[in-house]
Amino acid sequence: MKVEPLEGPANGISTCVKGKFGWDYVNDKDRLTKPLIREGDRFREATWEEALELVATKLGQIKQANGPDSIGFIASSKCTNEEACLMQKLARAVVGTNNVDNCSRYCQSAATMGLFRTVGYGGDSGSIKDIERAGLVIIVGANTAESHPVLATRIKQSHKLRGQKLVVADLRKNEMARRADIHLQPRPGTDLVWLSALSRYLIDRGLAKTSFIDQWVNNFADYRKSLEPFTMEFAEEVTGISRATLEQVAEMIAAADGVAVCWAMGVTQHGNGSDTSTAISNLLLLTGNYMRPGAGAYPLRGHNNVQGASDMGAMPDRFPGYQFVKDPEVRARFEKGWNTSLSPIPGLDNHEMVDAILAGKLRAMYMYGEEMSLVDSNANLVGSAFEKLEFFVMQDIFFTDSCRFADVVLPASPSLEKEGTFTSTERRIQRLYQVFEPLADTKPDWQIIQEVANRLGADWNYQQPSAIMDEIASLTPLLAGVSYDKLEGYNSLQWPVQLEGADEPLLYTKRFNFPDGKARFYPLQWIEPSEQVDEEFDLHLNNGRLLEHFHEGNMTYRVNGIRQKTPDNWIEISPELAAERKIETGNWVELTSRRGRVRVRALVTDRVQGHELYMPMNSSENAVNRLTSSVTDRAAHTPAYKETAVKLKVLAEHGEPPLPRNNFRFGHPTPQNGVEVERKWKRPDYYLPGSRNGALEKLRKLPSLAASRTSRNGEHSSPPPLRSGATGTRPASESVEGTGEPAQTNVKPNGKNNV
Amino acid sequence: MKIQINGSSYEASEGERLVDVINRVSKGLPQVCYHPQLGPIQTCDTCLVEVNGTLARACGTKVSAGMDVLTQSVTAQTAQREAFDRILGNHQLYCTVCVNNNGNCTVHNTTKLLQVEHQETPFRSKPYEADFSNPFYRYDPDQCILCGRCVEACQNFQVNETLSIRWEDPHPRVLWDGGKTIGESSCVSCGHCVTVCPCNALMEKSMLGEAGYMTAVPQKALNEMIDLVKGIEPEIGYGSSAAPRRFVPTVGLVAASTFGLRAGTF
Repeated sequence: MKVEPLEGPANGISTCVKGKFGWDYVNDKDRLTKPLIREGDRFREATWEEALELVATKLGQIKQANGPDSIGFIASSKCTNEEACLMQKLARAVVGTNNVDNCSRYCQSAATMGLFRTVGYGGDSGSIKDIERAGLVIIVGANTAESHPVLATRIKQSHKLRGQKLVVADLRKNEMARRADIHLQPRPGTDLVWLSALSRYLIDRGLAKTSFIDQWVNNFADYRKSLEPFTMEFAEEVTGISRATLEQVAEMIAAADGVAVCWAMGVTQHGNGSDTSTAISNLLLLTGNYMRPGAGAYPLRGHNNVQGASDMGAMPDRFPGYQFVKDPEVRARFEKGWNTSLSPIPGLDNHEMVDAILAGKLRAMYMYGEEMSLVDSNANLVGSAFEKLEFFVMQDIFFTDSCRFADVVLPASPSLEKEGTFTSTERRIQRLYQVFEPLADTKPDWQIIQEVANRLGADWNYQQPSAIMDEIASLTPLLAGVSYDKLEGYNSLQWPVQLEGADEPLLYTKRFNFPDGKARFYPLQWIEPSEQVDEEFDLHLNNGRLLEHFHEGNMTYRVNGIRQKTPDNWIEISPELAAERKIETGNWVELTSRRGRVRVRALVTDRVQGHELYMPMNSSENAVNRLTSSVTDRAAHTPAYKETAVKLKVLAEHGEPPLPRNNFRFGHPTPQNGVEVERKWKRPDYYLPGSRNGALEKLRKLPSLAASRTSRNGEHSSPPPLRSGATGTRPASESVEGTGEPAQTNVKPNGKNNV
Repeated sequence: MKIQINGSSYEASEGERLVDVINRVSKGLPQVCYHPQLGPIQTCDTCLVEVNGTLARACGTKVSAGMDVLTQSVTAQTAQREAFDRILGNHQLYCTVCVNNNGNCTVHNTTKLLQVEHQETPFRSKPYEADFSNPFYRYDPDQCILCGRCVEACQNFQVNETLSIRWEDPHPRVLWDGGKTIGESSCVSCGHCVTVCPCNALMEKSMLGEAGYMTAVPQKALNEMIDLVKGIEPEIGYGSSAAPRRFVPTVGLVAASTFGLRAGTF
């Protein structure tokens, strides 16, 4: 098999290493192929019949004894929309609880909250094309070239070839920061301050788009008042970014033909993640950067279906399409559609589920395609909670860390072995098609969930994922017109989708998604991050992704080529800190936070500065979440993964460098203007084909040419014009015999740099 | 606006590339380096057409009102053939037994399109070993036609800026970080270059020995067959390789008997 992208409406020819080459985990010898049932400290293989029966019996008993809210469900942002939909339907319609969530809680819920507060839809306000077209792109708290590598190519192209301006705010000097026109390195967790200061500065200088605000945005007076503390002096003091630099960014925003702001976990994984996301949206409203192409708000969704898992209602307070479970009208529609009564009480999100287990209230969980014991913050606490569960069902393709806590493990099929849809960061719903038969005794998740539901008394009969999507569309105005017919082949739809099929690549072209059609400024205040460095825990630990690995690495560490190049994670240490503490690349160090401890090898690099540490989160062995805390964003409960103070101890051991020398990070790129074909044309042995007589006699006399000669109109039977010699000058500049006109306009390219 | 193509009048839009208009209204204009998502690269010269009586690359030309274009005049076809003949100097044709003979090779398909029966520019091997140092793909300079699609994709599409061609070299080839092995370069293995390669110069390692009609043949026998076909194909003409589905079984049988393999292996 090979992956050859071409026609996908988002990707075109683009992939990253994982999409193009990183799929051979599907044939890994470690794939789960049989259901497993715990017996004491061991697992034994079982039949599907036995395993499913046990799941149904135990969940049924626990529900009977403790009520439906004693059970929690976690849907996967890696699996399909249809599967997420069935999981929340199982929770709500079969078991009777709203205790259902997905891992967007860990990354994206805070961004969504910022958009719900200000513009109304929880998704990117435009398409990747709009980011590409923007005059100015601002990236806040994101390592886009590694975390969103395909989307990053569009920004890199526009910046290199089309004059797009780029501002990057990130603690690290990542690739986008290196490329940026301006790189802001704020103190951790202070983005809200400089964003708000830019807003205040723009208002004070008369650079706000008042006509847009008057017509389209409510609550300007309150917002303006809320900005009073955010002077440039205050911003400089809190963020450490110079006033001059901030003013320069403000002027760039005012001057730009369209500003698109992209943000990710550097914003959302803080106690003020929702507020900072809101500050971004406020700034965009203030400058009229909604309701137009080439502008807008772009929370960069991380996993393949993190957008879709939330769209499908795998959230404790909302049905599919972000409809509130509290809304009687909505609930009545779902009760009718699902032919059952539904709980009006919002359930627990995944973080609250952990607390509820520890409090003895939540007794059973059913989770598929998530590695919650490693990727939730404060992992040691999560593990201790899972140990307390009376009954735990895990469903995955490998025996993951979370499976260690399970009572039953069900073997599922990955994306290449099933049908369904994913929804990308630009709200684009796309089909996926089965490439392989499910391996051995594995089953697609939607089939397993359906079998569990039916054994718990449901009467589901979905023959194909398309039937699930039809049901979603019938109950969800946001997705009313979605059907597999409309998504056939490479067709796609960007929600909201009207019943007749019209979709919205660009949101808010006519109105904002509030009853009066107007957006809302949302006033904010500044609250310090939760965990500051102190004398004992004296270093700030940042963390995030690597290009090559996906999440905790359950799949990508099983790809040989990736493992060869990037076999383990590491801790990035600045040259300054390395000198101060006498650390060399390859030294083992121990990091300790108030929650836990990990040992990891050091990598000294100028990607980090000063006392900033950075640890890739892609590891199951030295998981950064042994160190992170249980503090969450105040509004959306996204864990404050980025607010961790640690102390560092240099260990005596010295190992191999954690990153092999043949990793791409040690390479030396050779930037140039594409192919630079002009240099080919300057070769002494080059002349434009067809421009010389003699050498071509044989080619010209071929029979197929003779035939075409007689069958055509407007024939030029004269020989091709002679060039004046093989001087190697580019043919475009030559005057051509007979026409007296330079051929330059015909041959010289335009539109792309010198190509 | 309207433009004339081969005597007929067609609608075209301001700023449109001539090659896109020609492709929209007709089939059969050769184009090896042009890829719509990469834009004009202008290295291969196979899309040369007559524009107002002058040779021009259709990919690098923007339409203008009243433009008179001939795609099949003797002048144009001769230029196209000469351009493609030069490409064959970089890529030895043994399509019949090539492990990438699966219809997905632009060089093969253009050989068929142009009904190439004879090669004027002799194949010239490049003095470099194939590079297998990346875990996911390999580069074979002797199959590389120097179209530059991979370089364009790396420099201006993925913008990792690893690949280049040093056109001034006596034997240009694709370079990683200006001359490192792929495995020691800044290559992030995104795969853009492999995806857009129009032949078998850049191939997924997972497809080596898996992608053609001769896939199941043991490597040693296949090498001998390739040598045999390299020897005879330029002499007997390339018409055979232009119709692989028809021709391969015959050669397969010939080759099978030649090398003592059981017929039907393929």
